[in-house]
Amino acid sequence: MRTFFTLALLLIATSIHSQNFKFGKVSKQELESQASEINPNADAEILYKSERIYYRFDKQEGFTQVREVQMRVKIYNKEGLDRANYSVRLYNESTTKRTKLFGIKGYTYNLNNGKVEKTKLKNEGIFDEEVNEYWKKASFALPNVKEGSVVELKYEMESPFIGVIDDIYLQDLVPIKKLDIRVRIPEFFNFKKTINPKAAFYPNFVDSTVDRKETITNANRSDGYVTQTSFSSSDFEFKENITDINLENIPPLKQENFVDNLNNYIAKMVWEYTFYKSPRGQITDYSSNWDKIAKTIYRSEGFGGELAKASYYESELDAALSGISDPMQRAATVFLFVKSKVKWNGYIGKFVNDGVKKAYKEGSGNVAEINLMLTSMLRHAGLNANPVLVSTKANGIPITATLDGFNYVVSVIEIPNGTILLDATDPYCIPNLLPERAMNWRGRLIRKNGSSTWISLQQSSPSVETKSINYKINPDLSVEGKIRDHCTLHYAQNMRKRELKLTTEEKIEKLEDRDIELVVENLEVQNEKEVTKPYVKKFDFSSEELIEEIGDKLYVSPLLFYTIEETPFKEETRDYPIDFVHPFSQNYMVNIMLPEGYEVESLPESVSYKLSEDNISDYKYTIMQNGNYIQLRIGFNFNYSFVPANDYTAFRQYFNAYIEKISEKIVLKRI
Amino acid sequence: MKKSYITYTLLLFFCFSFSQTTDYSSLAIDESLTEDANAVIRESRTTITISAYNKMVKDITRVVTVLNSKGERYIDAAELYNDTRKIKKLEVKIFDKNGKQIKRIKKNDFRDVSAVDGGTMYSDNRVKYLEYTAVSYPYTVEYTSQVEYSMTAFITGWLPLEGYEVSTEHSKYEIINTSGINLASKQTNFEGFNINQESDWVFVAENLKAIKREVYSPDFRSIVPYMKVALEEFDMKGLKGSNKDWNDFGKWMNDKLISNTRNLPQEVIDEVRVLVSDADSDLEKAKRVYQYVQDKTRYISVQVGIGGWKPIIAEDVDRLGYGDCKGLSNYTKALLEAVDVPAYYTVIYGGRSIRNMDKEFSVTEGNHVILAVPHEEDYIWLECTSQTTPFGYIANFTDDRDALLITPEGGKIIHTKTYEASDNLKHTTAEIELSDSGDITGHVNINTEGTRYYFHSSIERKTPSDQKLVYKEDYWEDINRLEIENIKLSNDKDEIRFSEEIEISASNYAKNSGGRFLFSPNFFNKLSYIPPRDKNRIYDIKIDRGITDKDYYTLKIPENTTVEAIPKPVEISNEFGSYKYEVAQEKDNIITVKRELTLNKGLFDAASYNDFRSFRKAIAKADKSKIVLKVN
Repeated sequence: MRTFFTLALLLIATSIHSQNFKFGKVSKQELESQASEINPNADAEILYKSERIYYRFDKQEGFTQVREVQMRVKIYNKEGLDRANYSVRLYNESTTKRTKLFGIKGYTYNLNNGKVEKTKLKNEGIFDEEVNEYWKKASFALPNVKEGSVVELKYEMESPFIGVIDDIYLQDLVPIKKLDIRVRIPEFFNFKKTINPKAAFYPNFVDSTVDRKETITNANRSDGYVTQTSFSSSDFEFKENITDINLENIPPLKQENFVDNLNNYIAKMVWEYTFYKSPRGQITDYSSNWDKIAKTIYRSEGFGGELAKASYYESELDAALSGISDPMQRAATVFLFVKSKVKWNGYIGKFVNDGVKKAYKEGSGNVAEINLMLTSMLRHAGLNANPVLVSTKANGIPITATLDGFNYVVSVIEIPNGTILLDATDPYCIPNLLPERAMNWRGRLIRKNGSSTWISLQQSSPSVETKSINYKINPDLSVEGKIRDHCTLHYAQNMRKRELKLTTEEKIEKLEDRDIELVVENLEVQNEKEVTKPYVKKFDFSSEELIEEIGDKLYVSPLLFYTIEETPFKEETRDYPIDFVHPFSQNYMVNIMLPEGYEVESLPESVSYKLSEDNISDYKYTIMQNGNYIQLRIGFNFNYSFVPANDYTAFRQYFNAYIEKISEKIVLKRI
Repeated sequence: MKKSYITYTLLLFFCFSFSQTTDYSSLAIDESLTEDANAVIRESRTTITISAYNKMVKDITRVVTVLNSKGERYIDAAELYNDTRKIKKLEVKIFDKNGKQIKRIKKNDFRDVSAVDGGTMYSDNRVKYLEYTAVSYPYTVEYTSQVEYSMTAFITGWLPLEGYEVSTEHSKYEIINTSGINLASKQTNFEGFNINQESDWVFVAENLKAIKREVYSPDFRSIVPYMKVALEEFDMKGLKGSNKDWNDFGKWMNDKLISNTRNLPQEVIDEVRVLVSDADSDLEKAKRVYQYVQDKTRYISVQVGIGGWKPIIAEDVDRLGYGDCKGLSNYTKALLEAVDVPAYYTVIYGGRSIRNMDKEFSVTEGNHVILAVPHEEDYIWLECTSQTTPFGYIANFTDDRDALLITPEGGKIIHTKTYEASDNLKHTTAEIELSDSGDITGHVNINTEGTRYYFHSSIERKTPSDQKLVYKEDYWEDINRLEIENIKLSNDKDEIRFSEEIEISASNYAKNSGGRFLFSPNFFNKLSYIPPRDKNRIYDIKIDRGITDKDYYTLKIPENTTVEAIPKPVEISNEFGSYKYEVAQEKDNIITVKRELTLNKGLFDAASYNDFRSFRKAIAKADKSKIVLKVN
């Protein structure tokens, strides 16, 4: 039995090696195959993908970077047909400096009466689109594709941006049977490569070097990091560094709910340009750490230059600040001043777009314009304020130090007992409460002298929601009472985002919109617009449908319509952490007045639980009776922003038990 | 000559005086117009000048006061352009709440992007649109544009009330037709609104109050004033068209857009002929051809030039294996013709909510194409863009609405298949056992037909782990610790019936409260939604599709329990449908649950809204009523 197994494995292995991955050599066997061996449920599979990245040399133009891509994809079922549509985005800095696409070739293979039939992708299936001024898009629709088809596509991209190698993805949402990557870089261009440490697997790669010779007749010379490099001698000999990655049977990336950014977990190799070494040995450093990245950004006109400007706001701001001497009050005034003066136009960026002056004048700007303006004004007001570079949740967590690793900026004030983070792009943000998009990873604080340091962007204090529910049950089993819903930090911010645009009637409609008849009256919202204070909602309610009378007993869900019946965590296992964004605490304080003529038959048990000894999460449920009153206190605390994938099973069990606990009923019986 | 001179000066004068008196201050708006409104159309002037069948200019001036962020969509400062429509003027001015101008945006400062939506791979349309961040509310936007068209197949009609929660202070619509071509129009719902017809082609509406959206409301266009306009002779991307009525328009479409587009290579014709050679009826032939198309093609939308209205030729679809709704329908028609089965190209509005082609007024409209195959005095409708839909199945997208059939003799309006409440069946049976610790285990069987088939059969195309999530998250999200095993699915595409067989378990389903198990015996089909309270329902209640549910469950309870209370039987029947719910103790430890529900489709009087709501409330209440078992 054992031998048989080895043999079978061996057979699979050889079948892979015996395949021909040359473009155009699709086998009958590939066309006949019914399901992926890696993941039998896959709709499609990348049978083969190769990328060749190298530098082309031209006497006039110097080096350009070339990326040749070839792939072979199997369509297993109709859901997989989308894989026969493909598109490439091309960066278009200017008419002379842009990425070009060449040599598009595509074929579709089908089995027709046992014979391999081949259909070519023609121009009619290739579409060029100018998406906007910086981006072009080429789309391909492969012809004659059906269930069982294999499609092949190859193309070549040529880029003048020699210091930029796009991330090489080593995984996809469908399985990859064979991946074949070769990167060949002239010794002058030096890169540091990194594999995503959060990926499910760590791919092997092999480095080597090779000699290369180019002939030159031109005697012109211009040295440096430019595409124009030519030499006097007619023979140009140099070494090239090669990296090979050859992988087989790569499992697909799984999609899950509550993930911060799936891209943080995909297997990929990231390339970081470190230095240029000229043929004569001169080295030009192209950065390699976050400190340098921060400096580079700081020295850019669109960042540091904009931070230095002050004349455009001075007189107006001074007027707003006059008479205020307390530094914290001055800071608050500046923060409000910016928020009222300039609205966010929805664009993210670490550099300004139209500049702070224009943003100030027009009353709208991008993230950099608003928060650099804020930093500058805070400094003007005498505070020790600095910009903090951020990578948004959508931008993910950078693996290496690159300029693109940051795409956002906020502001920080350093005070003797800590720091205060500020973001004026969101009207509902308050000091030390960033918008969710910016609460990712960590930030890089840059001081006036250009030095920089890391700063945590995670929320440390929990966002708290406390619901006080006081009600009485009338003899006719109707319920009337009062509710006070008190929210802080993120809870308050979310409430304001949802509710500030609603009228009072609309808010009442929302509160009443439940599966039972509920009447809400006297709704009052406190601190609706005072964003630094908790958001408090108070209202009276009544309903005839909250108490269940079955037989001669009454069943009361003490949390009434706030009872949570179901867990949001339905998956049995997870590959990635759950992102809760911030620590939180959910509390209920319930007081119930019992109806006359009834007494308590049973009360739920008071309990308290901890998720683990590490103080990740705990809850406490305390219930007691006092005459004809019942008092219930529930507190659920979650002290981190994430649940690691490893802890998921335990967390799910714990959370299920909590939900069941708070849905337990009080039983009353007639006296 | 003299006369026209006078008109001209008058016109100038009128414009002049108008711009003098307009107050762009947001504070000047009458309160009746801001009630329930997110934006107010202060002024909307549309002037359409038609000088020839292929020459038209549209001038728009819009002054919109945006009261809050939800009103921003009514600024509508965007113009599409392509070879047949050129933007001549485009400008926006923005005014603060006091009416002071704060910004001016000229044509070149508009954002310019390709107008490709999610479902389209490529289109030669581009769009210029305003990008503006509100500094504070309210503010007012003045938008002026002039667009020159060579295509006159679509003439913007007039919709003075533009949507829900937006009011209109003043709206003027004017057509200047010097082309000599007859212009037809249809006005709907003008009565009861403050609308004045100043001359043949000049209409003015004033002070139209905002309308609040209601649940289950009829199509917006059927409750507000609306005017459609069409030219008898028009241009469609260089083709001259004719539209005296639907018959004439259909004839033109047939002759100019779809004839000569259906040649097929001889080997393809031979192939389908072989495919149907032993088919004993046209119906069977059509079925096989449809399957052939589904296996061979996929949907890709590419809209270039007249491609927006003319199908790509059948030969190309055959070779490429893809096309959009027009190309795929036309290709299927070509194949059917090759085996002597007639089929008609059919223009329709596709969408979940039902929208008709206008029986009474012929105009270039519709957004989708399907095929109609004549069968026994009726038609079988084929959706050609799906690779999985059963033959003749059109529920939820093109069902129950008027469509335009294109025949060689001309166009005809025909109503598509209606799925009645009794057709839309979900039949659930289950055998469940409750353990003495409150856990349930059992076996569930669901059969779905009609509109229900569509929603249930999609589970088939998911991976096994995602299928489990569908049961846990979509079907029975209220069963907290639900586990799913042994999913068996079967899709009968001939009968159009989908069957699911699942083994389920859920620990702690019955909660023990003080020595009693308390739970709902309606495990798998709770209709919990209750429409909101509304004391002043204004519009009729529109239910597009009816449904029927049949549920039958048996429950075995543990030996050591006795039934203490059981839900009372409920039976209701009225114009909205019927409901019957019965829980009974058959033997000592066997409980049966019987539930039958029908919700009717129809248009019900606004006055009956409360009854409708009570009906739904009664169902929701009975559906979740609980049984109590005493643990001995």
